[in-house]
Amino acid sequence: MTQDLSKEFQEKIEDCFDNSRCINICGHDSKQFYGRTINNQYEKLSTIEHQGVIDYQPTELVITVRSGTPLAEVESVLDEKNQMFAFEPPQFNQQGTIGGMIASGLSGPARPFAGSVRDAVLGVSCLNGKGEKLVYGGQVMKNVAGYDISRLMTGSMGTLGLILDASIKVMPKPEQTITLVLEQSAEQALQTWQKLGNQALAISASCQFNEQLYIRLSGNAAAVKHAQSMIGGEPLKEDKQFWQQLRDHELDFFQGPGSLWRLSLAGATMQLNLSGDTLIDWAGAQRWIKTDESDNVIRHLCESHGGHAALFAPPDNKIEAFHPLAPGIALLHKQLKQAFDPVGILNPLRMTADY
Amino acid sequence: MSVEMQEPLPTTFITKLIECVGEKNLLTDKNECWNYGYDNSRGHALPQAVAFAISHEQVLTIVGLCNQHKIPLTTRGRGTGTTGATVPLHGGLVLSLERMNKIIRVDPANRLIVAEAGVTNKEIQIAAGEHGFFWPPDPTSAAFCSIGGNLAYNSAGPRAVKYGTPRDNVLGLRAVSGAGDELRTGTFTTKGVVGYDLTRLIIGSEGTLAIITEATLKLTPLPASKRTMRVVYNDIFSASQAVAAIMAQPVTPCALEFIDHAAIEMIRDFSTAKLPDNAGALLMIEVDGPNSAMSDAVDSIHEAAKNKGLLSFDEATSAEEIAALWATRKALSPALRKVAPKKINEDVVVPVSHIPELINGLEKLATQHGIKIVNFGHAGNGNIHVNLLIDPDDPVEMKAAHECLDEVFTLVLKLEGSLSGEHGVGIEKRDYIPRELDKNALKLMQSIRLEFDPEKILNQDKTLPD
Repeated sequence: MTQDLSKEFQEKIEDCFDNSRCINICGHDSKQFYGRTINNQYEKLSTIEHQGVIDYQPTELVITVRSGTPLAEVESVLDEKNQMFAFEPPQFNQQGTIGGMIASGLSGPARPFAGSVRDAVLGVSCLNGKGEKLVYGGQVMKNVAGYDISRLMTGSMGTLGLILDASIKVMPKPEQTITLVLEQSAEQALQTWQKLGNQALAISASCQFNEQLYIRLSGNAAAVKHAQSMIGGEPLKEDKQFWQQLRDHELDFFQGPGSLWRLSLAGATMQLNLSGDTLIDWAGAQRWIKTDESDNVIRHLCESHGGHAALFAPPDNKIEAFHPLAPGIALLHKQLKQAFDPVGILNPLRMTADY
Repeated sequence: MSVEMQEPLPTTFITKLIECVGEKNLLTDKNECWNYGYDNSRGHALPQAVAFAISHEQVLTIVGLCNQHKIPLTTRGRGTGTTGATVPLHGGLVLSLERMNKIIRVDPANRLIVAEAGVTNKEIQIAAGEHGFFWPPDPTSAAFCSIGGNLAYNSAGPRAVKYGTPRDNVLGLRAVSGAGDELRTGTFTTKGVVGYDLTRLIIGSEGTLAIITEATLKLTPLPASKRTMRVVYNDIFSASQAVAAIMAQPVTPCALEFIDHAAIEMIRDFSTAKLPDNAGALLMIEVDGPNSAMSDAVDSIHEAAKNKGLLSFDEATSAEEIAALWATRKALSPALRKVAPKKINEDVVVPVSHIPELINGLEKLATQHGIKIVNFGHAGNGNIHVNLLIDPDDPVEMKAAHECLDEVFTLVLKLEGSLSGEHGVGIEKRDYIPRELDKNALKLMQSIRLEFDPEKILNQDKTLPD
């Protein structure tokens, strides 16, 4: 389906601005569990009928897509040309739109090796909180004209504007991919990542849980073979499915009891002393933990290691989903929100209790 | 504005500055200050004072003082920028960070390095190299430019085609906003962002939002080996077609540089480099990775590079062979310096498939305005350095150059490109920015600027037009 609803969205936001009426921008609602729970009384503004690939030139390695286009549809368009989003965006419940992918800023297992969704967003057109259309960046890889607003929109949870369309960098698919499995504890895996960390090997993902270390290799046949000979381990059958299940939180680990926290830490940080099960992803930099520990304990421990913690699927807003910001940075956030959305009508309270 | 028209700096301001940095770190003599009034652009203006900070805390105090007294503040590193962002247009104070030159921490386990803003790119590379890493951004001025300036401009260099720009290779910043507030953005983690991405917002903002005092840089393991290729085509269309094919196959080169016909002829005139007589365009390509993967990688590039216009494909494996191939490319800069020492060098960006149209359009503009234009640059991401070989002391040539440049920018935007890929905007391109960014986008950027710098003390009249 191809349909441009920019005008309708613009009129709606202008009207909401004039009447100080709040709206809840959404796509498939596939990432409702991410961020704060927002009040259902806000009118929904769904992007899912604003669809279509506006431009795709495989040789330019860029695709420009309307925000409501299903992520799965875009990935199948890329697949036909043997290309992909290198940051491996999650598709929770096999759903999700391009707008949601950018607004949430979530990237998959390849993130530390191939970059994040933020790295890939080259340009964005959006509507701010007054309904004004803004266009930033473009389809070229390098652009230093003005401030980098496209990246500011990425991960802003719809609080700065409604994304109309975006130009996103794509990459050729690797020639070969295999996954190796090694029997290793978390401590051993952390040491292995240290050892491999200063070598330019064709690693494209790595995680550890249940006493197993998984390392995915992607590249040309010689590079994969070279890395395999360095690492050892046994090849994993059905490895594509394994990484998809990790990416989309479908592994059994994610279904277990306890609250799900994502800890963002420097990769070499030792195992934290927290109760519950842990899955370490991103070669140590992202740690999923299912735990009943209090938010204070978790966040204090993360901070003491220079990291931060986010609570997934908070039952209510008694515990903030996102790690609190330092006062100076929080003030700048508020001012930025004000600059984009002066009346505060876009996705209010989605990121923070302050706005 | 001439210095005679400026109010002298208040005595209390100078006294407080001396208290902050010490007398030996403050210049007020006009002759000495003059040396800090220019960069690598054609702009030059006299600052009323120059302070050399040696710590983040001093920068905090200085920004506070400038706010209190409403003194224009221009921050600089090594002055290698080419668009005038460090020229103190309104006098005031120049804050030099060249003495904030400490590498605070090299952390190989977490693949990062924390350094003060005045450390040079080269010093970063040396420190990282000792642990088997490198920091990917490598602008031409890498040997001398400071990372503060490198980040302020988001200057990338050839390796960006594979490894990205500074925005993609920085984990966090310590900075002082124009309002005088301490900022710490990002973290030491791969997923460094909580909330809005202020790190990327500040990088590339040319010192108009905040002063970067310290950066946490993401390191990449040094590849075990590298192969260099020189590929010659009979015309720009064939070369451009090859660039697109090379970028679309899975082995991404770590450099993909382009030289056009006019530049090749210049190399021929000024060096002994051997090139086919009918060379219309030349590509220099590098791939890196493990030793065992190099042969396949070169084969993949060779396959993608083949088309009807291919004249020669040379691969170097030894250091001597690599040096010989790069000699062709390296002959270009001395040749340019000889022919036009004060050339205008623009760094526009267009989608790769539009490079032929750009080069053809530039050839037409060169004929139309009677100016010699040579082009080379980073073809893999369409970032082309357009060199107008003129004598800026000749008013007739300068007038023609300005008119020509105006049309160059029109052409670039028509081809869905951008006015700058890495040199930045500064003063030189400020007035062209409204052609690329529309009114609403500019208005928002200006309001963001005001949030960071309410008294408008930082780099006034740079980067964004009024």
